[in-house]
Amino acid sequence: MSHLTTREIFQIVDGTIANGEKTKLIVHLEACQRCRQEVQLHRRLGQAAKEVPLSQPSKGFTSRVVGKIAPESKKSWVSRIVDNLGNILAMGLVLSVVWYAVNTAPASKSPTEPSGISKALTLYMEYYAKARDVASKEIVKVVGEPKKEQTSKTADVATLTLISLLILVAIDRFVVRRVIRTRL
Amino acid sequence: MPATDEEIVRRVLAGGKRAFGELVDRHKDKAMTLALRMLKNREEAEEALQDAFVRAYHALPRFEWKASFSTWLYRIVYNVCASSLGRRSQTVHVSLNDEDEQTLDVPSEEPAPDAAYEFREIRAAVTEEIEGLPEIYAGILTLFFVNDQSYEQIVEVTGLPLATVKVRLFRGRVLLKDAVAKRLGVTNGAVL
Repeated sequence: MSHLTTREIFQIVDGTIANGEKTKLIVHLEACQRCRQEVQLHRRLGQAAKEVPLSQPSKGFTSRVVGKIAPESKKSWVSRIVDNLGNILAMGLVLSVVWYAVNTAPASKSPTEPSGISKALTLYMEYYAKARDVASKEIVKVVGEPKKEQTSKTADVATLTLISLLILVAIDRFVVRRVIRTRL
Repeated sequence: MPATDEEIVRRVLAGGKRAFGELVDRHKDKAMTLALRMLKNREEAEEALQDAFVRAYHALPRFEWKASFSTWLYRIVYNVCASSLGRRSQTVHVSLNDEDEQTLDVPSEEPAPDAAYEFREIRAAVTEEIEGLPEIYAGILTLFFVNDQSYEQIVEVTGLPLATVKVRLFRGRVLLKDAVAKRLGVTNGAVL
């Protein structure tokens, strides 16, 4: 006895049998237990597939999506200042110290007397030079003589570097991060 | 009575961005199931789903109600996942011509498991095995069974020809049945 094809079984399960074939398939099913079982199996498989547990995205998924399409409304200047009060105070403090070190401190002392910052920088540069000499002793033999140090403007260069770094930090904090937040 | 998708979409289009969250809540689980079955990775699936919802939001003004909202959304999810699969360069070797369908179109020689199986056993086996199927079959089967999409809607979602959809669904169902039968311990000549 020939059995129904898998395609015919799916047609029966899905209810998509062509009218011309309907009678033939039904007659066969009535006589064939194996094909009835096959149909029954696929019906149960289909039902089981419909009832499998759904996968859920992680908690807060909807909020994240809505947050992306509808970012929070713009905050007032007062709220922004309050939210960033710590950062603003920290930046103000740092800038005040730099301003004092660069402008006020040298004016209050004699021109020949170096400021505390200059002394510290000079000391730092001396230690740095010593460390570099020790570390590069062997390398010097191969590469040649090291370049002469530029000691005269060391303090100025260091100060400018520090100010540049602070400007970069300020740009990062107040411009770049804001742009990133806006785009997200 | 809960609002229909159409009502919510109209609210969103009228400027109620937050109303879009209702659509997300309503469709996220079925869409996530589709994404996960295709990508087989929870993080990637969630990322793809988030991307799909954001795209859907921006494309909403162009939605013309030729299809249901869910079919339209599943198409975006499907496309995002397909792109993700493409980037992964995962290729699934599948022959899609009619000849291949013909070779499968023969009476099964496997004995059919009888109704002695508890439905919950079959459901548990289906849950496990459908996730293990290759992406293209798992995606189509999920659209058909879980997302309640008809052949024609699956064509709409996937952009594949109807014949290809039928072949993939056919092969997916056969693979699923064989995998479930194997899991349930059906062997040649015996039904356990």
